[in-house]
Amino acid sequence: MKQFNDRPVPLIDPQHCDGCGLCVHACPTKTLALQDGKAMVVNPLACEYIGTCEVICPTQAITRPFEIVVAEEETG
Amino acid sequence: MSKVESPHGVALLKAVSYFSDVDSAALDRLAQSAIRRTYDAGQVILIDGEPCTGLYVVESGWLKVVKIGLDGREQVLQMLRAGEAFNAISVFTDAPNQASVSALETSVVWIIQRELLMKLMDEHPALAQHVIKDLAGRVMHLVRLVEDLSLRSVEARLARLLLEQAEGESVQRRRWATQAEMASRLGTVPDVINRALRKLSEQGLIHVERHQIQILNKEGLRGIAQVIE
Repeated sequence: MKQFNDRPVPLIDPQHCDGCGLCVHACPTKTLALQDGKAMVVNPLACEYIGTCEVICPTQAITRPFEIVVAEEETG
Repeated sequence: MSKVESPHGVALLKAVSYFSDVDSAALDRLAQSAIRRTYDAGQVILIDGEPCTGLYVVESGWLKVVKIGLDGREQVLQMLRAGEAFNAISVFTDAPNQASVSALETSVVWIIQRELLMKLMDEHPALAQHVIKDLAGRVMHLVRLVEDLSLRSVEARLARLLLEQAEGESVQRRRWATQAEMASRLGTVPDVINRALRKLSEQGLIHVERHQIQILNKEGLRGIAQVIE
């Protein structure tokens, strides 16, 4: 998936997003904004993948995929 | 929806363990009558409780088999990939679908009607043996799942899942998972997964670095995974 590069960001499902803006206000790094009534990642480099957006979203529209790796594979 | 092209269909059916001992002529008949369908990611293929339409064989893609509670919570029973068959229990017990199945990515499946399959079993005893072996395997998988869900802590289940993902067992292609996906596989909710990840991290077994769950101590995780309460 093209989303899963070296620095992924949370995935926002536009079909579930109701544009409430809670995630935008809650995000401590100002990564998100509302555009055309939907939340979007507008500042991906600022995202620290903390997950506040995922927790606060009332419609479960935001998910953070995690990659599971073995540390020795990464450093080997 | 389209009929399966015969040589291609025969080759694909032959690769499914059920049909490995069935002759090509019979597989050709099966392939001619099978219905091929394509599903986009997120589309539902089968609904729990609806009448059984037949045995499904995965040609390509990635699917999940789930039970859904009245509150909408999902429990993943199995993940499916190319070459695997599903809905066997409904077919061979003549019961409604026993679970729901949906596509996690674009997937192609074939549907083989129950009547044709039962007729083929009468003609090919070896097919019946493969079916018995497959169903026994499914029972074992479900017994392990029940053991996991009822006798293991969430940390133990999570430890096993992390090891399976990293070591490339049944979910070799999927090293990515959201906390919601992990929760539905492990019979819990995302908040509990979050706490379990923190607990494993505090024990020095894993480290969560941004989007990565890094396994630091496989042996330690194996020890946690095997603990039965």
